[in-house]
Amino acid sequence: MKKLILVLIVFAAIAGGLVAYWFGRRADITIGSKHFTEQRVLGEMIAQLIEHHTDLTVKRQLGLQGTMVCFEALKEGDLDMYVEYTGTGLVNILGEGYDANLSRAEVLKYVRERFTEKYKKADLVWLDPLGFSNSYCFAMRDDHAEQLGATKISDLAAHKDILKPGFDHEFTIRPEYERFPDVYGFWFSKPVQIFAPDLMYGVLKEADVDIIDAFWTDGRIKDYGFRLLADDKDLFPPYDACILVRREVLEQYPSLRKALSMLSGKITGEQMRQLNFTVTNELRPHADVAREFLKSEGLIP
Amino acid sequence: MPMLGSMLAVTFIEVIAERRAALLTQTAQHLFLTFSAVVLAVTIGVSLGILLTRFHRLSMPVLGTASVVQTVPSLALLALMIPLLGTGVIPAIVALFLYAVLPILRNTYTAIDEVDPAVIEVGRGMGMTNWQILTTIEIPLCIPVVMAGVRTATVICVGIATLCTFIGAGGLGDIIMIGMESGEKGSLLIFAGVIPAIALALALDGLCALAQRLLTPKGLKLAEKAT
Repeated sequence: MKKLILVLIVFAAIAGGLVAYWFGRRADITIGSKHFTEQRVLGEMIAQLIEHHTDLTVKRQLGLQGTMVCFEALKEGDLDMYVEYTGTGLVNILGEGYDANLSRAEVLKYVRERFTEKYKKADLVWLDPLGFSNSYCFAMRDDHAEQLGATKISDLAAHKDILKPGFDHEFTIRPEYERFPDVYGFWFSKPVQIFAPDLMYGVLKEADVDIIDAFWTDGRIKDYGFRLLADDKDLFPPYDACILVRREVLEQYPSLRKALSMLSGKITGEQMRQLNFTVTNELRPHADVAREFLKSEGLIP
Repeated sequence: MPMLGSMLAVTFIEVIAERRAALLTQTAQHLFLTFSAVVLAVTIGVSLGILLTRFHRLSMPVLGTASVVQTVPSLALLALMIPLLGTGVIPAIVALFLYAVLPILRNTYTAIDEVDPAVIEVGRGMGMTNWQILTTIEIPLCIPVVMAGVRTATVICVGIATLCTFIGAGGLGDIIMIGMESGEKGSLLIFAGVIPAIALALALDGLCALAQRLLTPKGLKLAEKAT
């Protein structure tokens, strides 16, 4: 009998926890992000703007696994918004090739049109860009790049036989990766090693590889003293960061659009990299870094 | 070098102090995820294990299915949960349960199946019903083996629960991932998450050991001592 009571208590505790969780998650707006620094900082900024300028309650689901998890959750309504990049929308989500001559504004326009057509049911809105583009690029150790005299990707052609390339998995399945040899006219002779994106920086520093794919605004580039090589033949599409949101919530809460639009055009690439650097180099919590930025821009009191 | 070490120690303490509220929440979430999944796995695993000993023909497909699920990489299983159950705690518990159930199910089935038929015969000779044989002979005799399965399941769950951050379920994976994302100094945050996770695994394992001792019948303990 005693044992039975014990078992009942255990079950009651779990049921209680789940019920508490269920009520805990009832927020008006759920904000998601992928699992890298910039995404978490931007997610926090959006959350704090909404909390300051509307009466809505916000739930944060930051650090989700990759683009497809975020997008799937947004489509299913588990998330109401997250920050997406136009290039990712074009290449990863729509799975389309692109015209290298399109400008940033044209890519945004195209992605908006195609999303309206393709995801009618979810009805997603690309709000105006936040200001910076976080494109893919290549990074090398600064002294190594100096020694080879490399400042742009074309410069690597002369050294293709000696450079050891290391890329992350998502990069190697992108269309840009396949198009690289056609666009630049060379490919590396040494085999490509594939790493988890977060580990590539350490591997490059330790000289286990010589060249990696990186994000333009990643704070760790500064941290590790790497050099970014310019994409001089426009292999990569623009990656303008925009809030991707369900129209449903914009219409349900009229105050929302105004709060969200406060961030449009507000963040330059240099600022974003500095914010990322502050998080990774000083190990500051994302929420604090986001709050300080919003205050310095006068977006929250 | 010792100077550098002590500076690191100071930074480590600062980092933890700055995030102690978050760390406490994450540890609680981690415990909750693991605990719910294991309790669910014990309930279903033990009952199903007993049922299988009564319907032997089903044992192959059921145990086989559970084994196949076990071989699915955890990250993939979590990603598969999203279209079915969305993000958050519920899909995370379901995924953890799927990993926890096999060791418990298999140990229960094997242990009951291998109870000495002579002992059962004795019970039957004394006029025991099937239910009495199950509750007073078979279950008590197989507790050590079942508990071994529960302990395996618990340790697996504490480990896999660190990945539940990827579907928005929180837990210590949050701070570990933030550490992974943070370059060279991020290892401080990784430690800040890994240490409580290890402590949690050891504590829960200790708790299971205690439960095992309390539940094992005296007779079995005496027999163990004698050999």
